[in-house]
Amino acid sequence: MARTDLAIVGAGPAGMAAARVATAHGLAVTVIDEQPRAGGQILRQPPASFRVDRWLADRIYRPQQSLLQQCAGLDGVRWQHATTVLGSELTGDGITLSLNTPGGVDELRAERLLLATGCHDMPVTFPGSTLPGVMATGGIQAFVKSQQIVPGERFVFSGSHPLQLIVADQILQAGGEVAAVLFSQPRSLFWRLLRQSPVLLRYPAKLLYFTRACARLMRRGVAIQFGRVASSAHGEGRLQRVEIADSGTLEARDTIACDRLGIGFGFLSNSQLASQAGLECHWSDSAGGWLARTDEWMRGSLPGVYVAGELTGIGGADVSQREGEIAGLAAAMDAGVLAPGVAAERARPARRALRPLYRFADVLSAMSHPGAALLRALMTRESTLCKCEEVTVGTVRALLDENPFTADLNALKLQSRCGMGMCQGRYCQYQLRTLLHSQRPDLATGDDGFQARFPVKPVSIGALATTPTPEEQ
Amino acid sequence: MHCDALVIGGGLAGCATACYLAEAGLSVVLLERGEINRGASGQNAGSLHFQLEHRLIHHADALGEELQHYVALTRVAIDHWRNIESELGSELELAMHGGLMLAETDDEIALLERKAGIERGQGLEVELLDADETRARAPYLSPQVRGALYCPHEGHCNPRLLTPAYARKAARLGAEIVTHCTVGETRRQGGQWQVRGEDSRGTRREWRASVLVNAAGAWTMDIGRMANLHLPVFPIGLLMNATERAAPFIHHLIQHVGRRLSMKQVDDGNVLIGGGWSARLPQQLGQWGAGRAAIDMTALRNNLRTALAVAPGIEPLKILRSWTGITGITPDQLPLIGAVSRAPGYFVAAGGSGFTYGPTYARLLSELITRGEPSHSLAPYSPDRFAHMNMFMG
Amino acid sequence: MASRIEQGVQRGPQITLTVDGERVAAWAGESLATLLLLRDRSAFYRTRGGAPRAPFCNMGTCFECRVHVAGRGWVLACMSPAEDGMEVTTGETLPRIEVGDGAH
Repeated sequence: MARTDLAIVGAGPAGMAAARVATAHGLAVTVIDEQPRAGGQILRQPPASFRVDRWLADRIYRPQQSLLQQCAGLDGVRWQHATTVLGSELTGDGITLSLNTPGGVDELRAERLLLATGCHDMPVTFPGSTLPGVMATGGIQAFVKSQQIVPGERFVFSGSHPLQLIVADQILQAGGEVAAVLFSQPRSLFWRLLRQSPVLLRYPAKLLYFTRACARLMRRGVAIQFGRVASSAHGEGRLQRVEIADSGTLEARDTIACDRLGIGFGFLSNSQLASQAGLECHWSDSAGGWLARTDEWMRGSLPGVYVAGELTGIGGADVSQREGEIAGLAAAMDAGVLAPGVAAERARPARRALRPLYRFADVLSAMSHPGAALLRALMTRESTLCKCEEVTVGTVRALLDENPFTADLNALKLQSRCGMGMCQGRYCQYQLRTLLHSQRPDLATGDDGFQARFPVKPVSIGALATTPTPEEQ
Repeated sequence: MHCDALVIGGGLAGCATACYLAEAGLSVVLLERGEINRGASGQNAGSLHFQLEHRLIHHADALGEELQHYVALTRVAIDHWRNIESELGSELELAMHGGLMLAETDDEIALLERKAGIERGQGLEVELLDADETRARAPYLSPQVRGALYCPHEGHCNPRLLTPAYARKAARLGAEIVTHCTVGETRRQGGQWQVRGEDSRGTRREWRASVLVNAAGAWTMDIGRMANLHLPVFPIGLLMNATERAAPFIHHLIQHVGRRLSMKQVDDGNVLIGGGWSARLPQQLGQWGAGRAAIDMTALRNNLRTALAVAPGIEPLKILRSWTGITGITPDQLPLIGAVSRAPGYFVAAGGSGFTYGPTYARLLSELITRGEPSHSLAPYSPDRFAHMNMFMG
Repeated sequence: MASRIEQGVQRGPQITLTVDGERVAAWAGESLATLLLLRDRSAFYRTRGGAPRAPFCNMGTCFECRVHVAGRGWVLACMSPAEDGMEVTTGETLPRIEVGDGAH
């Protein structure tokens, strides 16, 4: 079994920053990531054999671009790409990770573990949400950034997150057509927040980036509509048109022909490994769903386990990078190779940078959340709540009516099959929770999430069964 | 608050007992610490195994005559399962297409023959199959399988659905189901049981009942202690695995006479693999702690290897999740069902293949409570067989 | 239908694979999801209820882009680079288990 001082799950900004810092203090580091190259979703790199001119050249990507370059030159870090962590087992004397690698299932023994697993686009349930052609806005963006394709012809974006503007702009620049960008919030909300939140003005580069995207979209005649939402998706076996409605009343206003609908209502943390390990988590409606609790050194609730980046609360790449630095210092300090006083000193710049970044992230999360009322209204009876097990909203509502004593998410999962399929609840937990809370307003039970199980992603019986047991190694 | 019967535990035993007691006209309150069906009743793999199991056969000499009683009870349970969907008015994904207990060695074949003798002696239909006959019925089995004992009644039922169906029916019949209520005290006072509980908001409630049923599963011993009773039910952690859905290919319940294996394919297409592989119970300072049992990776691999050895074709199927449950076992492996003589009005329903036999145990226990005599003897399972443990309990 | 961005992009070596029995050229490093969107596939797999499904997240979390690859069973198209000689099938439903030669 391979051994390492610090195993880092996720090669995004948090994981890369932690790897850089920890290895600088002499720790042997292994970074594990599912993608073929480092960078995370923010810098989802093109294949190594591609050459792309001016790839993500805007200055807002600079901190991560420079981190990526530094990481490429690091000794003492083992990068294990195209590898999925299936679960971790904490024993008294370390942590064993089970890895699904291209060569089979393998184990890695780590003294310490950093979960920097990032986030994914928040799924939203509405009629037609499972139709081919309905895609996560972040997923569309990754096709452009990494694969260098325009993944459709005519796009509509519907959501509540400003990222929509960036992706719509990237699609336009890459030669796609953008029929509309819809924000469920009223336009006045954005103006009000701009006026009331001076922290936004501390980051002019970010504001400028959004403003430019907005200006380019408007120049090309793209309709940016506020208080509107794609309320249903239609087509024969694939997306052909979406219905646009008032986001307050869901009254239909328009129908737009398109072959891609981007859904951009913000992000949910990838919390499955944290849950499987048994880390203490708390719920946030607007900042990413289940989030791991940490102390000021990014230590999670279990000994030897650290958490950084989106899994502590959606905050963006700059927050992730700074948290990763602190986690890297903490791992070195706890390993005894860095004196606490020195660690505190070295963490100071990151902490100073984080204070306003957290305030910025809070404003962005609050501004970008669609609100429970809209999410509930979009969930019509016939829409598919659990796409893997094909369970409709109506079925779950009926179960809740028939079983008045069912009042927690895991019990509802067990009864409804929601969350028991291939994605293991990543794409229905938020909606199921919204539904449960709306039908059980007096819910007094503990805030219990889906219990993530080993393996956090499916793996073949053959691969699992052939891994040598400790006695056989 | 006063009621006729108070049931502690919202698992299968508790919900089914509450249902049958309510059906007999008693006023019933059921108290559950968490949610209905969240313990072993909902976490087990739903096998209906009527053949003597691996764990019992291997202790056949020690168990002796008790095994014959057990097989006799099996026949009652089979009839009960055949009617359970209509009885409860719910679809339960019940399948009784038969089960195969596999053998790979001469010794195992001999064991099957001996087992068949005991089972037939009590009128349980079983059929000994040779290798070709076995594979004719289950072509996915490996050539290593030398034979099998076939029981036409075995199968599976969806454990996610059964206990909630009992709870719904109990509620329809007037039983009050109180979830998120932790029992803190059970006391005998003035010829009645006085029970105190506290809900998740910290509100205390109190009930008085002539009958108290301890159906707390792996926590039977903890609840028993509140009445100054030793009820020997010990927690064990077990492992189960579910694959992705596949086109139907396993039509029977598959077990193994010499190895720990149970395997079946449910209506939804998932293959469930278990068979008694252990999971590590949570420990705190030498006590069993709260929380779920942890997966033992070696047990997991060995469980899957056992399944692969008899059904090599499952190799590409993906495991969706492995999970653990905590169930209870008694010192002699037989269930603990009936009245506790030294504590009038105190009844227990715990241990011993609680899913396959749960509905039947509950019905017989409710007959014992309401009529004083069950329609099939529960004598071999009486808690009084451990009365010596309570001799000194004051 | 999806299209490749040509301006400012140089792609490396070309490879050949088959999609639903048809020979298809791709650039090394392109994911199966990319390739199938370029071929205008909408049913990457079909649910048990027969509904077509296609990529949603493009990052290995939603499991909606499952396709069948000969010798490997299903894979996530968004996480799987196209490889020379690969045989990809779309629109499959449930995995089928080889049941061996049984008693014959």
